[in-house]
Amino acid sequence: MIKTCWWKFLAFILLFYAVTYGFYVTIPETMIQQTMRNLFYHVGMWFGMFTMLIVSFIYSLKYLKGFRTENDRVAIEAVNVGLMFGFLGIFTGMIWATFTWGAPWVKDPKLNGAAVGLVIYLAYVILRSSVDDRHKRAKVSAVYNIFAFVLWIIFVLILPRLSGDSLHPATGDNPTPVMPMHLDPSMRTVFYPAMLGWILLGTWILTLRIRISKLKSRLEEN
Amino acid sequence: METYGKIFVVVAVLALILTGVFAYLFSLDKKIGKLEKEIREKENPGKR
Repeated sequence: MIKTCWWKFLAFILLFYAVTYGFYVTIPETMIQQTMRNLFYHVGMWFGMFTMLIVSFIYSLKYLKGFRTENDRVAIEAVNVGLMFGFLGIFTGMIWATFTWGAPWVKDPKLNGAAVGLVIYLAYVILRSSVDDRHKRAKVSAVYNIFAFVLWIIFVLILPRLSGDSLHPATGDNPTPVMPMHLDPSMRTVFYPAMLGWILLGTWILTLRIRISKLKSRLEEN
Repeated sequence: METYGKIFVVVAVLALILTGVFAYLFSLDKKIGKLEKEIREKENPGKR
């Protein structure tokens, strides 16, 4: 039967609130006008991805501690869900960029960093598929995953800030008031619930993927 | 929002899509649950 959990309903309520009230909440007058509402949705993709990557990182560390297959399973499935969010983040960003900077892709440290970040995790998936032995695959990919997580943080969160000339908000010098701490108080009432909603949605999809993966391996055992 | 008339139509569409996606997720959740139960019963017949 359905594994009913309150947080699945909470995810729905939060996101429902975000896609309805998100269009009515007052936003500050800026150059980007109404597109600022994208903050509730585009940024949510990155919150979702980052959460999944943290989960994957933790479970890779756990795997290396006890070499339990269960932990490896969570690590790969979390990366899979994270990549889904990552691609949605890149593509929604490209739509937003087209109407803000005039092109879907501009030469910018944040954008390039995000692209490199995705490639790093695509490499993780490819690395896994290239090792046949199950235990070796789990070990090698857990070690790689730890590097991948650190590299992702460097490319997506640190280097764009250090470069100091990124167009993308939340990179340090950019004055556009969309960073959470500079966020308009009225927007915060939607922003934080929306982020939690996306994270919970990602978690739900992750649990579904883990359960399917478990069923699959059970079938293979028999 | 008055300058962008009829925005509520878009909001309604988005709300319906979101509801649909979540309904779909709930049904997937249920289906996986059923499969889990089936496999459990196959592995230990007799037990419930």
